[in-house]
Amino acid sequence: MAWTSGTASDYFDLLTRLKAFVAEQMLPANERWQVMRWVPGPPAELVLKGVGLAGSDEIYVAIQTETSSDYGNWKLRGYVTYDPAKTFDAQYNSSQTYYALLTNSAMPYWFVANGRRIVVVIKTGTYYECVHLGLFLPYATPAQYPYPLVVGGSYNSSTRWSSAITYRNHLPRTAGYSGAYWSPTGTWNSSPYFWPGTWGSNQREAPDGSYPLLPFVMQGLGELDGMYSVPGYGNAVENIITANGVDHLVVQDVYRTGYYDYWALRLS
Amino acid sequence: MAFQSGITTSPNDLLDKIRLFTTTYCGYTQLMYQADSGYYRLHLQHAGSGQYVNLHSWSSYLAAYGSTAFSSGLAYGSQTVSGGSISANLLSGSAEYFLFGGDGYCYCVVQYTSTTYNMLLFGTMTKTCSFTGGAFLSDSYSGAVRADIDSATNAWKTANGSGSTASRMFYSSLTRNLDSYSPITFNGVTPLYPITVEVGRTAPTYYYSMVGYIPEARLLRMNGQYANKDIVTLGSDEWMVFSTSYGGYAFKK
Repeated sequence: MAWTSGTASDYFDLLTRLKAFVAEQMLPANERWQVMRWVPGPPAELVLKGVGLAGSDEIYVAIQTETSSDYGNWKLRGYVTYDPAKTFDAQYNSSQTYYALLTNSAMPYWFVANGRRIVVVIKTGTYYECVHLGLFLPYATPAQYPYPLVVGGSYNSSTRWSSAITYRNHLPRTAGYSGAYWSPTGTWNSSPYFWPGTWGSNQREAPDGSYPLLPFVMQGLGELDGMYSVPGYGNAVENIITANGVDHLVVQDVYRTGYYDYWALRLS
Repeated sequence: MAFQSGITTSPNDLLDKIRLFTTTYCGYTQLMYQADSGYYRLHLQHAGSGQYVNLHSWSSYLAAYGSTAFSSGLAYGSQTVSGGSISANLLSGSAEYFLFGGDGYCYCVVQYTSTTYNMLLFGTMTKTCSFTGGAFLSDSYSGAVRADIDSATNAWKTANGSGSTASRMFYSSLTRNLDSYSPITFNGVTPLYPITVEVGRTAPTYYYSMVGYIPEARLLRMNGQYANKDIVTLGSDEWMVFSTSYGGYAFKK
């Protein structure tokens, strides 16, 4: 299957479970990610290569752990190329580091992946964290935009998982601090705001009780794969919405529970 | 899908073209077509959805509205329960017209000046949820959606309504917000976005629910990149685009 869930004992166990899922367990098998570097650490390092849907892509993403007395984080980077002789931070054309702010205690998680991208949702206490590593769906041909890589966590510097920082957001709700994308002109740019923005602030569920889903549009670039805006009215984190026969997990933006602070992750 | 274009010589002539087009290609049944007040009235019902559409030609324009029933004994403007009064003025003399249609919808675009076009659009939306209704009518600005929700029956929600009587579609559709990001800077592509339909709810005040999409129609930003009647080809599909004061529309041929 292309998704799984469970409970990890800490941030390191979460990383080993992610490695096992995307490299050994996820289906279809021909979309599994290749492990280019695995260092148990600490700090642990995982560099992955995605092969896309047809097996011909080279999508490089990397995770490095960091720890403190009562928390442990993931440092997230995207690479344009990968040189095994270079360190996590010294890869050529590496993105800025973004952070998934995690704990060193038990955390429920959800992994969703295909050959193009990996999405992780983690529950840390009453907070929720999100990781995106991989390609989005560009409004362009491969020739026009060959490497639409977007990487993100919830913030661009290290802090404790319980920090309720104003600009700490999941990538689809970014205020400019959550992630970056490799542009068609060959530069890393901070991720733009995503449409539909504050849709949901005055939006209810449908009259029959179902919830509409709208794709997140990276303005002027394309769409996130399998991540949707959903109204928060009458909704709650970890609800399951079924749309077109597929389950979707409702996620809240870190600690926020306002009507437009929810999104949905396709579990497929 | 069906497409027809040509020259129309009068509102009476265009009404007759709509009559033939909708009954031939769009699944509508003609309930009445006859002279009225010196012009013509036409009443249609879509077989599948049950939608009623009432149309009338006048000296310089076509008018239409929706209803939830039809009675041959009632005057053109007295059908019940009515909603969505729309109209489209024609260029006098000879005007270009375009008809786009499929089962349950008809989009009429007609020339108004040498460079501008008006629209008369009606049909049944593609629902994303279950509710009674779904009929819509719109011109270049006004319109309405039939939605029996929140214990209402035979209810119309209008494009210029407020609160629970409001609807948002076509020019006020949510996806109109995406105009600001077209065309895409690095490849010049102008995306065609689906036209979302939202309707007002009784509670909380000024809350909406998304209920569907307008079938085989899209929004786009013309932005000088496209001119009226241009064709956008996406795969095997051809979309003809038109500009209005409220943005661009694309209709599938």
